[in-house]
Amino acid sequence: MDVYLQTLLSGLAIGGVYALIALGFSITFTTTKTLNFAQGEFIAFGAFIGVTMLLLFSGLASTTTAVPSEAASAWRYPAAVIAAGAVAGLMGVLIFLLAVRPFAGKGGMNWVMSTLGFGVMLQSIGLAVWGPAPVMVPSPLGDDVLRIAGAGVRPQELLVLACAILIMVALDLVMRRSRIGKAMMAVAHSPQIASLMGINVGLIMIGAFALSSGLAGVAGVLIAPIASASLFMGIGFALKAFSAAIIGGLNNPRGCIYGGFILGVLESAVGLWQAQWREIVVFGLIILVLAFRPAGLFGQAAVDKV
Amino acid sequence: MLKLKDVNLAYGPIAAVRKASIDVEAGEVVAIVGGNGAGKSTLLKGIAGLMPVSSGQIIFDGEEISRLAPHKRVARGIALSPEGRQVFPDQTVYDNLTLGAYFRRLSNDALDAEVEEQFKLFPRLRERRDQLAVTLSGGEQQMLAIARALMGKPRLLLLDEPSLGLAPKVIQEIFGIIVSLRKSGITILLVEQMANMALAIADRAYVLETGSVILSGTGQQLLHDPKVRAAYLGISHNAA
Repeated sequence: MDVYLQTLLSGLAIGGVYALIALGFSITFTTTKTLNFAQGEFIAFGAFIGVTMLLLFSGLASTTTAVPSEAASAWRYPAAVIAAGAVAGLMGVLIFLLAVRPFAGKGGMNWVMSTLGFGVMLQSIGLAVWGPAPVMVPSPLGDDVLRIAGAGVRPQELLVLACAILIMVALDLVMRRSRIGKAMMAVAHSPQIASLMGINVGLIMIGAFALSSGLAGVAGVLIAPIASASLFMGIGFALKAFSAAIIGGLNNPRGCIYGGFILGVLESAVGLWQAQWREIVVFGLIILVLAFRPAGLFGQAAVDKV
Repeated sequence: MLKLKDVNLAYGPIAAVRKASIDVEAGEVVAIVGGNGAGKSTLLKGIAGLMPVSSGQIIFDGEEISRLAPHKRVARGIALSPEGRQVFPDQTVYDNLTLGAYFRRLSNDALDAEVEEQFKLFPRLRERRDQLAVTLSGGEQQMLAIARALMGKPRLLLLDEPSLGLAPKVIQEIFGIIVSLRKSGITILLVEQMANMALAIADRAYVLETGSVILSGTGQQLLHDPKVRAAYLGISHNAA
């Protein structure tokens, strides 16, 4: 019994990370009809900016493979999460201005190549700055395994889950209740008509990229104590998160969140049974979903307008 | 108030409006009539900034706005109620209306007061206040589109085919509202395929054919012009 609870909780934790990143994909897709294919590098950068901030705030030195655990104590970890989100957000503005805006809305798929290329450049820069070795990152809650109803859970997993839910609930409220959220929905429906409302569509699109990239950066710091920070960590997470977005429906932010959790739990459950089947089952599911629900499980089928 | 000087608008290599020169004075209702594909809607898109002018000038209140982004033109006082209504289907009637005033940064109370003003003009929208716009009838959506444009407190209201796809009774209602808007002092540039109705309420009008202005005059002049009657009102000389 406890092993199932344990599997469920770690599935939800990793699913929360997928959900954050998937939500990021959805935010740029709905507002600009483009995706940031450098999202993986933003996750890795987020993790390393987090590491750098932890060391900076604590004044401690890192060994080549691990950050000392005191560096993550007290206010430092939350501050590092916020800083990584902010820096990744700024990088998101940059990628939009340099690699997306010149091509967005002009037809063609140039933005796919330009965002991929931006990611490759980021990775090279990251390797030059931080080197290729993975770095162990301490959890602010320590590494002692907690016992919940007999199940062993790492405290960081609970923290990741709590943070992911908190961020997503807050964003959902902002999107549905605030004026800026309604303006984003208007842009998602039609940039032209939104501009007739006096909405500065270009600014909303920049904001969408900043938000989406910020989420990826935050996800990177959250997952680093579980997965270790590595400049090669991003691609796997980004691919899974993209799959989660497809399963949930790219057009539906809430659907993307559900997709993230579904994928995380499923992956964790299959891993319990046969770890080597994990990827096969996950991507098999994606192909199935696409075959029967092309717009995703929670997406609305596109209606052709006359 | 609005002056178009030799405005050209094109979709890629295809010219849609050719050397159009149009004047709208403050307080007027000016109609643009013409057949399908004459370039009427394109002209309004050019004025609102949804389409770049390929040459010529658009002057509003004495200042050239030809290169201004659409959201900046809205802030100057030009609002467009677009062809085919184009309300935000996944948002409520109330939210659609508040989006119309988005750029004005009103307090919630001021916003509610202005929404209330629109409800006085369009009582049917009040009943639908919290419904998603997609659930409205065509006529209600048209009213919402006009009310949403009015929420920007425009000095110049551009109306693109407000009668499109509506039942005759609803069209009467919409035109009644346009007349009452004119009385409130708002300047209106109206594009319509229903030439007879548009000319009947217009102070002045232009006839557009394959992208060019071929005729202009007062609404009454054009309403009785034999060419206009034959081409756009479906009335031949003899029958008249």
